[in-house]
Parts: sequence; structure tokens; C-alpha cells
Amino acid sequence: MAQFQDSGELRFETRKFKDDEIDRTIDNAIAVYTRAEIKYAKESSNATFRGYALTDGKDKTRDNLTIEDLFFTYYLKKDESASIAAGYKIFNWSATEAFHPADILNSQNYDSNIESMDKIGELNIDTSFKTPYGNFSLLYLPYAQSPKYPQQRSRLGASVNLSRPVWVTKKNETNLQNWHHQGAFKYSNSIGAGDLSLHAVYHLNTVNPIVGKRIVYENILLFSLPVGVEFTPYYFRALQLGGTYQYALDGGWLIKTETAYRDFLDDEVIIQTLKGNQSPKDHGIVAVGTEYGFSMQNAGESNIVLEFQTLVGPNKLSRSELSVFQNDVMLGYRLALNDTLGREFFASLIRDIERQNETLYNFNYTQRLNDNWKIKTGFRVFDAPKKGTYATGLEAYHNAHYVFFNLSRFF
Amino acid sequence: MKLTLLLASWCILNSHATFALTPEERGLEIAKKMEKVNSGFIGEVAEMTMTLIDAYNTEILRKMEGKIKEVKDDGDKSIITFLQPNDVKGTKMLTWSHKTENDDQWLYLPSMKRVKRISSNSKTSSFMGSEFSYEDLGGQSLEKFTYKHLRDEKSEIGNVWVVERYPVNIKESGYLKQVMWIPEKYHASSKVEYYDRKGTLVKTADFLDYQSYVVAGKNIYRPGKIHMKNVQTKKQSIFSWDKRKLGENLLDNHFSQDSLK
Repeated sequence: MAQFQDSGELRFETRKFKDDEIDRTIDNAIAVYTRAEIKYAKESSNATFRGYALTDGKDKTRDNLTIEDLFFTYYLKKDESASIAAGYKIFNWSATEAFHPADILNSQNYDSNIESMDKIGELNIDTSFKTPYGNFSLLYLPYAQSPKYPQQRSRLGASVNLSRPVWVTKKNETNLQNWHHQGAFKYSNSIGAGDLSLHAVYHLNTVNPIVGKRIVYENILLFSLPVGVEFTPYYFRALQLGGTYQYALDGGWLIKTETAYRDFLDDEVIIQTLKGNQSPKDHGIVAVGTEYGFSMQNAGESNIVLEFQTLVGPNKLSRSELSVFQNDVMLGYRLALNDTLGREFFASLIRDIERQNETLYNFNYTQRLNDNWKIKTGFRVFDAPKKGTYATGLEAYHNAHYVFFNLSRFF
Repeated sequence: MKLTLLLASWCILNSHATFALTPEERGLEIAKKMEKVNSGFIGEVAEMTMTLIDAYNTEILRKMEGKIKEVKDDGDKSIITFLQPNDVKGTKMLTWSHKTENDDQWLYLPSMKRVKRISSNSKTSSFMGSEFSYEDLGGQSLEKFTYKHLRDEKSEIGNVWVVERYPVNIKESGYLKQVMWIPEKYHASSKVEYYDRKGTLVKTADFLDYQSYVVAGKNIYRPGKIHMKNVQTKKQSIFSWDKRKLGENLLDNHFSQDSLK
């Protein structure tokens, strides 16, 4: 029997940044966000669409239309143990709350929370098999999706407009084409109270770009004169091996870990950057954490989350360039009152334990107004003063504190 | 004569064996009967509505869809899909209940497309703001309780067993004990009183509108609604089932983490 499901959200977003006294940047945002999701399922197949659009009243560079899911699945066996799916899809391979080294497949929209960024659907063909020994997925990804970066006027960006990305597909061979052969394999299984996943990904890595600097010249009166600097993100081929594991202990404790090793296949390529010549650097990332959940006397529930991520391999400076969270600890607390309004508080801090004075504070509160309307409000504080000539890691966000208020209508 | 005496002695001994059951043994015997009579449903699907009623009689509705797959020699597997309120539409909770061990639970969060393993330690928390806790609606396997038969009562539908049950893992339960009224006709509760860890009565639940479902020639009874009343806050919640079907052959693959997405 055919089944049809739909849902949607219309959200009015406002956010107000701390004034940075720079005229070029926009300190207030008023945006309208709409998201729609439609699912259609028949006996041996289903189709899914999900996407969102955002339009900002003040910063037109934030406007975007993103397809998250647009795929068709066909079950090869009646018991649905084998399937083939094709189209755009968002994957979530994460186990931890703040650090996601294993969750690598989708490109991201950097105009969102850096510890849980919005993703962009990735074009793929996914063949999956469910067996008594676990689930196996084999993916082919023919199109390397470019991430979305905040532009020069955004407070959450690097204060520069990035030009069209360059894909480094072979040693010293670059191109602007997004069509490249990429693939991934994933195995997952639940064993007792634990969930294990392992993966291998060959792709163009969009998480660790090198931003190249190029001086732009123009011919003026027979002379070629420098007129500006162009910044270009370079993405490199990489082989990532990694996995996740979650285990539920007696007494309400969850143990979680995510690991990944990224081997860049063209690490001899040199890119000229603001900080000198750079090459992609092989590295490993380990994130471990624990979560403790417990009931409150008023029928509510609380969760305490403690996570740590470290990046291994390169030196301290390179580590900080590879990840904002190269050696960080996260402490979070969630309180859900479980009442009819669904009132919920969440507070967290992420602190760099390698680099001094780098802390991100986050607080938010959500509640329903009725069955259709909901509010979310809170603030984020980026405390990471610049220590060198150029901002590195969280320093790029220093003083981009903001408060926000969202009003959503759900359908 | 000898044979008559022998038979009489055997009858006395036998009846003495029944009467000699302690209240705990008799309670366990009834619980075993309940489990046996209610097993064999194979699979169950239903639409569920929860009506939350506050102390001023204001009503709020919550809607869900549920699927349960019977698992031999272990607890059942179930999926609840939330349909209303709209902000949680599409959220799913997958539970693999176990006879003695802690249940495995995962929550699917559609906004992030994330399947998150959750701890089953928050069983005493309210389910969607209602007077039901996760514990009230979760797996009620025989092995997770000890039992004590209190008395038999007579009602319009025949004999009713009154049995107390106590959670084996008291630390993870919100209750010290539950007192159940079990009509012999249904082999399922018609009323339950819930006592908190201090032994104070907090809630009562009435199991109403029992319906009979025939699965493979066997009659299985299920309540059409549960009316939970919090005697302390005066709030109430009514959990009701519509379009319920038993005997459904549900695919095992529908009860996996991957199927939640």
C-alpha cells in the first residue's frame, strides 16, 4: 500500500551580533527560512525530497536554496535486506555531539554552528545490504559538492570572498570541474549494547581545504599592475579510514568514540597562502566522550555530555590550521522538562586545551507555543583573541558573539 | 478400599500442593499465565492518540503510530513514530526490549537525520509531557518484576486477581510497587495503582474498552484505552489505540537503526 508523508517549517530568524565597528560587516540578520520534506513509499520502493531555502533581508550573500535529499530507493529483495538508492542525500555517520571526524561525506554550510554544521546533499548511488553479520553500504559519488562559505560581509566568515574552488585531482593537476569519481564503503552493526561502524572513503576532502592566495593583475596603460588579492579554496584527494562506537553502560552512561585517519594522496602539491607555502597534511583525529542521562523528580530529564577531541600527526601550528577543534574539550548540559510545551534548555562550552584563551560558549532555550508554533532563543560567545599575525582556528570568530531568536511554524 | 484411600490421599496431597503456594508463588504463576495468554500476537500495528488533560480540564492531543514485532525468547521490538505536535513529526523511537537486561533504545532525529543511541536510564521521565512515563509504556517482561498475590475479587466479568509487583531493579524504576487488578477473562490488567519509592500512591490507570483479536485461532485481548490519573497533581492522560491490527507479519529489517532514516 502506498504511503505519503509530508512536513515543513517556516521560520523567522533574527540574530544580533556584538558591534565590531566595521561598516562593511552586517551585525543584524533578519531571515526567513523554509524547509519542506516529502516522502512517498510503495511496497518495493520509496522516494524522498527534503530541502530548504533561506533569504536574508540584509545580507543577500546568505540567500541560498539547498537540496538535502532527493533520492529514489528500490528494494532488491522482498524482505528489504538489499536496496539500491540514487540521488542527493544527507548522511549522518556521527556518534558524538560536538566533534564529528567520522561524519565526512557531505559538504557543509559554514553559515551555521561550527560544532553541528548544516549539510548539503551529496549526489550518490548507494547499494546497501542487511545481513545477520551487519549492514554493508557501497557508495559511488560522482559529483564533489562545494561547501558554502559566509562571504565578506558576514560576521561568521573569514572577512574575504572566496573565489570558485579548485579541485586537485592528481599531482599538480587542478581543475574547476565538480565531476570526479569518489566512493565509500561503510559497515555497521549492533552488538549487544554497542553500535559499531567502520568506513573507508576515497573522495575530494572539503573539510580540510587550503586557501590559496593569488595576486590579481590588470593591464593598465601597457603595464600589468596588481589590483587585488584573490583567495581560492583548494580541495585535495584523500583516503579516509575511520569508525564510530557507542556503548550503553548500566546506570545511564553512554560511551562514544569517533576516529578517522586522513591520508592525502597529493600531499606534495604546494599552495601559496597568506601564511606561506602549504601542502595537505595527513592526520588522525580521535574524539571520545561520555553522556549521562537521568530522570528528574518533576518527570523531566537531564543529560550531561563530556567530550574530547584531539588531532594527531602534524605539529601544533598545522593542527590548529587543520581543525578549529584540534585539541578541545566540550562540556554540555541539557535539561528537558518533558512538559506539554516541550521546554528545553541546553548549555555548553568548548574549550581549547592546547591553545590559550579559546572558548566557545553556547546557550539555547526552546519551547512550543502551541501544537504548530515554537520558539528558540539563546546566545553564542566566541572568546578567542588573535595571538599571531593571522587568525587561526576559533580566532576567526573572536568577538562574533550574538543573540538569536527564532519563531517557527511547523506543518 | 485401599485404592479409594490412596486416591483420596493423592487428591488431598495435590490440593494441598495448590493451596501451599505462597502469595509470591501464586503471583508469579498468574504473571506467567498472563504472559502465555498474551503471547503469539506475531506483530501489531496501530495509530495512537494521547490526550493530555490538565487540572483545569484543558485538553491537548498527541498522535503517534506504533509497530511491535514479537520476538521469541526475548523482549519485543517496537517503533513509535511521532506525528503530532508538528515540531516532532517524523521523530522515531526504536526499542529492543529484553527480558532481564536493559532495553536497547535509539532515537531518530529527522532534523539532523541522526540515529542516536539513548540510555534507558530515563525510564521515569514523562512521555511527551503526559502522566505516562517511559516505564509505564515500555517492556513489561515477566523477569523484570517479582510478584505477590494479594486476593481474588469478584466482578461482572468474573474472577479478578489482585497482584502486587515489584521492580527487580528498583534503582532504575520510579515505583516501589504496582498493584494490578487482572480479570481472569482478559489475563491483562483492568486497573493498576502506582506507588512511588516512598510507598505513596501517585497514579492510577484504568484499562478500558478491551477488544478481542483472533490470531492463528487464539483470542488475545487488548485494551482500547488507558486512562492514567495522577492523584497528586490531578492531571490526567488518556492513551487510546485506533486501527489496531494484530497478527501482522512485520519485516525484521523494519526494526533496525538504518530503517529509521
